Amino acid sequence: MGRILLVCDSGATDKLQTLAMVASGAVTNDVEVYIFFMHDAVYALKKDAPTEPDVTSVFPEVAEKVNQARKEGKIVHWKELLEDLKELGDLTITACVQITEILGLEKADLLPFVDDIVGVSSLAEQAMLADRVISF
Amino acid sequence: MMTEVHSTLDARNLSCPMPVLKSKKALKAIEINQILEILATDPGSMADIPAWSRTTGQELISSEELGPKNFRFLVKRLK
Repeated sequence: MGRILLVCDSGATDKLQTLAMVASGAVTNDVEVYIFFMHDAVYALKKDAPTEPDVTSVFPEVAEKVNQARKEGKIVHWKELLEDLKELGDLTITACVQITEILGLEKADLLPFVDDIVGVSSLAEQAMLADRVISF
Repeated sequence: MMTEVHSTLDARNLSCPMPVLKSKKALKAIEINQILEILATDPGSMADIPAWSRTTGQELISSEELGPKNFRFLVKRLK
């Protein structure tokens, strides 16, 4: 059906949530998805990541209502979504080697759905293989 | 003539993207040429279930709005 590369360098909850939503649309439509987490996004993948920050927005009403919806369980958490998608379709999740080295993280320190720790050459290769690249 | 339904997915009270995600799972669980009934309340379903059926090569037999935010779809698994 096609192939997309999603790149996320933000640890902000709203960015990660958006990433997972886009990935879910792609996987359910039989699109092959490759995700590359960089910078803060890698930190969010830590098994022992600190308490997740609330969703932020330039509009206070948006932040308030989205965070309320999250508390009420109306929004499926991005980690849960990605875990589900792994079972459902062709999804590869990778983390940037540079930031894992800086933070002293091994693959075992990251959430189980992370497939590999890779560098920018792999990222470039995936970008060339993909029909579309989306960054968050 | 009534269409024979082989499996029903109750996706009511689930919001996007869960109805489509669960539909995909449910469709995998039935045989080719069998029919999945999907019940949903998410307003996005009216566009999403047909789009998902089209792009994944399944047959959308029907989509109905039974009432406000109350939808029913029949999807035939073709592959």
